[in-house]
Amino acid sequence: MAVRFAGALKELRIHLCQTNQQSAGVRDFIQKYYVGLKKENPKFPILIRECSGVQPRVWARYDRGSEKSASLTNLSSNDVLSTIKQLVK
Amino acid sequence: MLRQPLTRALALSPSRVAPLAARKFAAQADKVEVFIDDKPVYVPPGTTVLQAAAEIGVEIPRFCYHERLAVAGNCRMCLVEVEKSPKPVAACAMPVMKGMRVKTNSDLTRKAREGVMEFLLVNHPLDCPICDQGGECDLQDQSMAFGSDKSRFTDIHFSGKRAVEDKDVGPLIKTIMTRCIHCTRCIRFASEVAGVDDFGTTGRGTDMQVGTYVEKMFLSELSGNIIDLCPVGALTSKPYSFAARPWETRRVNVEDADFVLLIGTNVRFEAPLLNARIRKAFIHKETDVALIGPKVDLTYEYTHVGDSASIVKDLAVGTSSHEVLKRLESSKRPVVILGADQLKTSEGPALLAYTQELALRLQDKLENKDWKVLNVLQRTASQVAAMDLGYKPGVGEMLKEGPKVVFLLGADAGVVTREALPKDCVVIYQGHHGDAGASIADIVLAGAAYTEKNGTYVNAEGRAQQTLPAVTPPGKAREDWKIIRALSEVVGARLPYDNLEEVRARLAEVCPSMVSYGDVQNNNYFAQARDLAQSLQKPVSGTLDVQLKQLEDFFMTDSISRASPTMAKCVQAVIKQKQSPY
Repeated sequence: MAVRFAGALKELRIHLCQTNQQSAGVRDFIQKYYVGLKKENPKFPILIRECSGVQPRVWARYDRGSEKSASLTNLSSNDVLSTIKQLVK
Repeated sequence: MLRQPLTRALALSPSRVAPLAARKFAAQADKVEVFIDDKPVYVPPGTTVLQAAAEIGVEIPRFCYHERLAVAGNCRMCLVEVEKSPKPVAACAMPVMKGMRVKTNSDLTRKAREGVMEFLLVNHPLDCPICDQGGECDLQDQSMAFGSDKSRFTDIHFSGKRAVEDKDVGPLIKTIMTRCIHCTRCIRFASEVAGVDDFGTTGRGTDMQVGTYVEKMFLSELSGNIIDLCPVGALTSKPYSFAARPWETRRVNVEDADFVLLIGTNVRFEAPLLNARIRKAFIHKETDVALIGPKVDLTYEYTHVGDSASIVKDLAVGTSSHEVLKRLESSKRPVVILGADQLKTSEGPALLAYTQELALRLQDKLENKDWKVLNVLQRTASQVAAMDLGYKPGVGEMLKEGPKVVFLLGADAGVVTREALPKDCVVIYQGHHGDAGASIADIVLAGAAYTEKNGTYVNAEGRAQQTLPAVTPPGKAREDWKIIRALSEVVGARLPYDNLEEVRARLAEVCPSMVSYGDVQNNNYFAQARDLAQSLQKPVSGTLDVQLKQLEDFFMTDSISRASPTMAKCVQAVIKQKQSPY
């Protein structure tokens, strides 16, 4: 599952709700994969932002501040990982 | 000048400070039976009516009475009806008598309270909206609970309200003597606790004034305590005036803690109100405090563990032989407070990692899993929010790369110096008050101060709050986002927002919790943070230092206070006081 964050990608932000059912997969994802990802990319900023009531979403920031985002609503933890992999490309 | 003679305090003390054990084992016959609202209660002779009522959970309103000070009995707020007594009696000064029947909620009692309240309010200004005591004011609370619903005060049309000149008692205490209700708590504290007999009252009736008669500074290391002691807003904190409302600073959980470990922070000057809360817990709840860092005066006793960073490591891995480790481990509600300044050093990540480890290890042992052990104390108001946005503290890496342009956003701490930058580097400064950052800048963009703009602040517990402009910025200064938006257009990369709503919509894209104003977000994933932190646990050898050690440092912590003549005067007053032979 090695994912390298490099090249144009500068920052990843993951928004989720602490309790909401729609965010369950994202919470799972953090439990399972976050530590591994962070260890492989120790300097890369991955910002996990919890906010009660938000729909889960991932934001990717590239060179010169251009951004892409993808909804993570109701996705499973593996789907979340593949969504993030899509954004890395 | 009047003052409470010490003998009076001593004469009263046997009943108040009699050892608890002696009271407990005293024969029932020694006790007096009294009835509070028809409920019987047995108390030792000499107990006051107010204390007897407190025994069974009936709280009688009071202003002048303080359990740690001698009884004065002059505010009359604690008047209660006693059967067979022709007049209501002052509960704080009246000793109980056998078979006494006290009515704390009768018509007579309530009428007496309303009357006292009315007299107090007649002589009290209606400046609650701008009073720093607002939210912890006894007068405010008790007028809500016991006051009358109407006022008969009409003199405002003729001679106006009673007004008293303010006194100058030093740089710490701000006096608004018109608000004084003459409870004399400050006088009794000064004479009984601080041992300074400077305070007293002069005049009588409407001319009565609390003060020092000849203007002089309240020269005591305990002087600041009278701020907390004052039941109204007559004595408030000068350095903290108009900074925040009390309920905004009532943060984290120190008051319920039974052990507080401070790492690399001088809370007294970095967060004075938090320090006051710790002090309160120390005095009233027997909370113990330990400090790792330079030895500073925190106004209460603490265990000084040392100032080397390796102590934190030893505590975290459990190899420390210091008694503090045992105390932490046996504590039921421990709190660890780490000063955020320590994170900026090169050993910062390792220190944070060890502190996290320590906090989580303590957390694992607790019965109450919701108790928050770890707190990182930020120094400046915007630091928490900056971290939320993804800002990384420390400038070391940036300087190594030899930047061509440096944009300082209100950076006045002197972290970036001209010497550390390449010679051809262009420094742009955006901010207010023209301090350290502006003096090294090639281009200065005038921004707005916090009173002059719409702002979002996140406080130490993670609560997002918004502020509104009170005045317009001077000259050509503009709100910060407008300057950056204008710049973006000039450089040909126009930012996609034109008004405050659009800026905040963008803020929500970065960090959604920052626009859910007023809410505190729960943070989870401490276990993940711990896993990551373990890889950062490297040996640490440095010592922990803090910037603010002396009172002089405290008055000049940011660009506004450095530019403030009042704060400069405070520094001079303290230095002068220290040099004074008296």
